Amino acid sequence: MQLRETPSSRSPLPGLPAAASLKPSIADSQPTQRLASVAPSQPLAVKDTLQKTEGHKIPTWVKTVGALVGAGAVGVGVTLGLGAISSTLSPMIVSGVTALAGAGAFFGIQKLWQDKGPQAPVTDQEAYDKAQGAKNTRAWWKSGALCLGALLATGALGVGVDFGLKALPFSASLQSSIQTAISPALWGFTNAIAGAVTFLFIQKVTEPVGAWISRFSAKGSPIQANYSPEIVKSFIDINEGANAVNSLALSGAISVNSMKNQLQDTIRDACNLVDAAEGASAADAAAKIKQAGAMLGRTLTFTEIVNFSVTPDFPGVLKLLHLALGAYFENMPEATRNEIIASAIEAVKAHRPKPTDPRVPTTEAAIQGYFLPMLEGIINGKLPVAKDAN
Amino acid sequence: MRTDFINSQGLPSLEGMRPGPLPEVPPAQQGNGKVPVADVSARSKSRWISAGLYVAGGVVGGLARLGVRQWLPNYSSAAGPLINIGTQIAMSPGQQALQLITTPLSVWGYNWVYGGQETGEPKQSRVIDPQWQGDLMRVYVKRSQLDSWVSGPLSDFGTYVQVTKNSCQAVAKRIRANDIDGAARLLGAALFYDRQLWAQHDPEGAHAYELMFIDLHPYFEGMSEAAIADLKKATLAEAQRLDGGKDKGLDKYIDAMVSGLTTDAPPKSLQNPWGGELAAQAISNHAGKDANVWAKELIDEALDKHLRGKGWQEQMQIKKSFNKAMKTVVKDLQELESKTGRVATSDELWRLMQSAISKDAGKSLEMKAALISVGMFVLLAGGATFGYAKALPLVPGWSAAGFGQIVPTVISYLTITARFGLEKFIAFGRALGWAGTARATLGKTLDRDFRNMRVRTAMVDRRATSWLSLFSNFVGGVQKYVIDASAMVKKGKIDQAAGLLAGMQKMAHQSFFYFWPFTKLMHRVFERCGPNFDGITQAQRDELAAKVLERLAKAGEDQETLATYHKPFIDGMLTRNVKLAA
Repeated sequence: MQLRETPSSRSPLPGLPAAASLKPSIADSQPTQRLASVAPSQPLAVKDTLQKTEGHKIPTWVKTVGALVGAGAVGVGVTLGLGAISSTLSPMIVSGVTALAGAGAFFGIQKLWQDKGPQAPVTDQEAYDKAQGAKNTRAWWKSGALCLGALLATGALGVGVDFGLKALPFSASLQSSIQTAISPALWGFTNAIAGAVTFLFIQKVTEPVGAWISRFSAKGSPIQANYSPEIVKSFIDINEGANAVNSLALSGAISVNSMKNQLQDTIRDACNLVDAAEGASAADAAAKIKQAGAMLGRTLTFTEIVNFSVTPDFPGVLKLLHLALGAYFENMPEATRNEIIASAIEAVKAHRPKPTDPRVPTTEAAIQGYFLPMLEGIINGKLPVAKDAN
Repeated sequence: MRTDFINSQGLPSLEGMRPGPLPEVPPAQQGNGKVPVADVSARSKSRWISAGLYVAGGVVGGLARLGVRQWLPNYSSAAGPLINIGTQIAMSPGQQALQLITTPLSVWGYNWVYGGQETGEPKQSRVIDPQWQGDLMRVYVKRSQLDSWVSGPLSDFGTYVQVTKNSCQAVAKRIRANDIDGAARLLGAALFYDRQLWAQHDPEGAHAYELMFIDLHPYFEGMSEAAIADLKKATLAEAQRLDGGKDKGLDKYIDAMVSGLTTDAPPKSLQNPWGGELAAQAISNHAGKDANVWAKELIDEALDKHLRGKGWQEQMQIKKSFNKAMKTVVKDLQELESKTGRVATSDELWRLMQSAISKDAGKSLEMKAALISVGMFVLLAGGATFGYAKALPLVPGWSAAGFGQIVPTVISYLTITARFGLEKFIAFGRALGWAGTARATLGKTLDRDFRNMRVRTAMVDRRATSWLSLFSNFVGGVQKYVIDASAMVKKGKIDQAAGLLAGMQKMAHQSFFYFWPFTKLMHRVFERCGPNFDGITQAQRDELAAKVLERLAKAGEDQETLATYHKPFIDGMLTRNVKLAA
């Protein structure tokens, strides 16, 4: 029995309920830019892609200076406009203007110092080492400045609130009470903001010192870590790279990878079974394919609970999973792939525990909403059609 | 009744069993949001203990504030930040109580903010059935019962073993094909990599390593002594070639690892950093004598030989450790003899000795590290407070509500460096908080091993060690792809192999882009995976690389990413440590 064939000989998908609602394959819907000159021993010609379109943007330094001048102008304007009462409100005006100017300067400076990365693509080790060294030096300066700025800004915010309250017609005891009441919230807020901005610098300073204290504590002991400096340096570079991404996305990526690992083990074994079916008797081959599908169905029953956050509702994720795992099914006749999907669904029907909460989809609903889109997406690269917003 | 699943001891045998439906869970034991009465009671107890610890921490902080106000009025204002931080730390052991309240709240907040599961809006995480949710929470609770100083390294060790297992699977295939040199290339690269990355395991993780050998030995079972010797020699040569002669302890490490994997024996050279071979020799020389006398003579002999040529400080240190450990050995021997009613065998004595030395060294190390760390914390925080108190009168308005917040932030930053010892205090509280439920049964020796790993890990910049486990996880995935792709290439399925590698690289770039192919770390990964491609031709390699890049381009990857990430990645993978066919 022949179980592998060329992609061109695939037949349409028969008999699966969600098939009609699935989009064309990912491969078909992707841009087909080909890389004609790619060969492992030749560098790629990529310079043209690096020419960024700047357009008619206002330079950052102009914006920064503008924000500072603007803040001053607002202060002067408010003071002149309010006339006699301006002296009463002066603390509030001062804090408002300071906040405006501070914000302008802060974001402007941050923008100006933003690491634009290497100007030319780094395609060899020497260029990488050089760029990384320069980046690390810049990171020290920038993170140090941000840290100091954030500390002062949090202080300024506190002063602003303090002056602001004093400017309002409250009694001293009421002011004090409000101050005490909002203090924890202010404390939490300023710490969160300052922490987010100063994190890199704090890490840069405290982690090596912390490690030194631990080494000092355990000096003379036979228990020593013997990391090579180059490995530690690599990890530190990695740490900086990873921190440059929104941690929410980073955590999501780790979840997707965990899902991929779960599925990869099963898919490898399932495809080995399909390979073993090649040349076997028809009955034996059918049993093996059925078992391969059942393995996949059972694993998905497991991931539905344990990797619950990775669902076919995210087209990008499904596409990625297809790219990462779809090749295992390449050259497999469509009929075989359909048999695998069908027996996976059978396994789900047989083994998925009955929900005990009405909010949990029934098995039939889960097949439509989770199992079938997952199987079709990963195996055949088909994405579910987006639901109508109305 | 079928009896073919029952073995001679009357226990169910796994042989002959086929996967089938699980037995029905009686309705009374099913979730429905409810957990068994014993668990409810234990969890409730845990909450009360945690809450008690939390409140007690707060009270301690409050008393400290009162005490300072009463007896050190001049420092009352300046000590405020320090007391705040101290109070936070004091309350930390009981923070689980707070967590039990805040976690459901934050889940509710997420649901509300992002559109609810209740309203059935699309693109939401699915509701986990209470029958699973209850169990998953209990898994968390059970994990929390273990001191975090142990559970962290334990989890990392599990990842490390898993990755090594991937390598052993590929090695075993070559051994079965009588390709010892090929097996040694894979194993040498893998062990060299492990030695570099999991440096906190060596050499004290002996007992944990035994667990690993129990798990992995079956891949090497049935090898002849001659084959083992050949494998050991070739593996060492391979690892030394990759290392370039920098690592002086590599030979001992490789010897112990290959011995452990192939013979299922504990790695002797790993077990005793103070001359295990000498001790083993001494034990066998004294066979037949009274066990307690052996221990005394053994230590004298081992010490005499081992201390020659060492500096006096080191001699003192080693002697102290030995003496301490031997007290435990003698005590354990007596206990063993009274239990068994016979003189201990040399093997038993050997095991007790290793355990005692490791335990003792670890214990004193941990205490020392914790105490010094707490000392540093007090010093730093005290210094900052003192400095602040002195600076207060110098700067008018310094203590204004706003700028007053800067100081605790600075103090907090300063003290982060010395919180290692305080973590132990927090871990103790956490374990105590969950003491009501069943405790994990790791055993004292393994517990000690993993604690030592924790201390060792703390000696390295945390920016490096915090990525170890994730990196290993990533390498595990890469290895699987490489093993499958190389097999496909050898079967002539280059296109499909390219599909796998392209998928792997795309996944790596999306999920782990920060493991950049130019880092030294990734070089180690390429070197580890390279031998899987041994035997492919230059033409196959070029074709494979070109197809991988072509597929990635087709999948929408831009030219810059191809040039700066994917090309160096696939080039490294197919060139580093790959032996091409002639």
